[in-house]
Amino acid sequence: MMRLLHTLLRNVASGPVTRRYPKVPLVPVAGARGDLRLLVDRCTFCTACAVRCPAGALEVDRKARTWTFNPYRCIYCHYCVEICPFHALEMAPLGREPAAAKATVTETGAAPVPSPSRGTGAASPA
Amino acid sequence: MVIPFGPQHPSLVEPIHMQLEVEGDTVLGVRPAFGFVHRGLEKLAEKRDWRQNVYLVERTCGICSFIHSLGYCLALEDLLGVEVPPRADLLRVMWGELHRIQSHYLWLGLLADAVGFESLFMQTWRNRERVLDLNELTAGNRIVVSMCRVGGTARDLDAEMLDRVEATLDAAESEFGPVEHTFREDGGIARRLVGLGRITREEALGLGAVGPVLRATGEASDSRLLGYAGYGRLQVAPVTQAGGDAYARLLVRLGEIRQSMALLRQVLPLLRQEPGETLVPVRKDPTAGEALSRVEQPRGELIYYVRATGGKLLDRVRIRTPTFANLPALVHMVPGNEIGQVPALVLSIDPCVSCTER
Repeated sequence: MMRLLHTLLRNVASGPVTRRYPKVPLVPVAGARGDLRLLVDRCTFCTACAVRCPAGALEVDRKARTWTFNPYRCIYCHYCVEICPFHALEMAPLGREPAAAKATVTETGAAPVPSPSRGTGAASPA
Repeated sequence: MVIPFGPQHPSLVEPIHMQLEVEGDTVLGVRPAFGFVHRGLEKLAEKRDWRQNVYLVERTCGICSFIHSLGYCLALEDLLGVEVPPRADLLRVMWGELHRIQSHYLWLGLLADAVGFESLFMQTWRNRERVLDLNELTAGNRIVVSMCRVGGTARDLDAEMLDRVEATLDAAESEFGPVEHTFREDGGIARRLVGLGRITREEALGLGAVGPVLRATGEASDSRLLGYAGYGRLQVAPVTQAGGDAYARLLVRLGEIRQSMALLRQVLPLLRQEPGETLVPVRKDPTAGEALSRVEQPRGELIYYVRATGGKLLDRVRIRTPTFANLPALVHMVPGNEIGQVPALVLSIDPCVSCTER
């Protein structure tokens, strides 16, 4: 009986264990894996992330210099962030906000600067 | 008369289907059927490259995900001849044991709910939250932590993080005391479970039972004794009980939560004393060959078999799950019991149909 009373009193005093989301905004822990972002200035559109993504959530068009991310296929495994040779990907500590439609995210890179050694001066395919 | 039981049933926690042959209220025979949640995961593993498969096999089970990725990585490391850093081995033990604790907590809560002890269910899952918070703190996610890599672990923990893990573990350990006491001492739970689904050690061995179902018959069988990952450096003594019934299985799982906490206490000082790298980069693809790994999941022995023919794709990935191994024992246990006892019997083997059907 005393044990039960102790548990009851503790429960009254301690409040709920679960997070009171969305009333109380979620404070993410450091290193939490959330929404994927591209730092487009660093990206060379090498397709390493798209080739390795286990869920097929990424598409990269090397010629058009576009990076397309389907957040609804992402499994938050962090693999793309780890293997990106240019550190162009990062994960925000919070997940994506709820949405009414399943939209993809597309980032387009600036046209590449023509290499002087090649000397072609060809227009970029962007 | 034959009564179909499951896969959708209010008292079932997993989509298992059984055809119960009954006379009055007594079950005379049982025929299980599978395949309701089959996802073709093993076939998919042949279509993804061996690095991507780590994330795929991790999703075989939603409760002990880390141990699945560990089993796969151990098999691949054997195939590739990769030496894993000792620190990564210890971190693997840590996440593995955290998964075991939260899995057993989940089961204890379901058991409390099944016997109608709802407040105990809430107290148990409250404690589970703390363990899930530890997963999130150390790995960034609560359930599917994605920390295992072929060649080590994805993250390292600094001294400050280890202190926080230890502090949370202190709290989790003290909170487990009252819950454990209630499970052990409550007359209602004992009346429902003592003598239910009793099997002998010989029967369990003959039926190929694994994990807590086997250990509850007195057999000290535990794959962690093989010393995979960092277990070879730790003191692991299998938790056994002699009863062979559902109550003995409960006592084994209660003991294993304590055991996992004790293993974490062994691992944390070693992690403090031994800094070092946690991941060895693996650049080559596996050559032709096959490998097998055996790891201890919360439900018993989990086996991964991997066959490669060279190149990025694997020829075959076979997963042998403990629930599948325990089903013959379940089929043996059910006849002779009343229909009302069947849900508790099914629960007593801690079934994971998601693993079993993949």
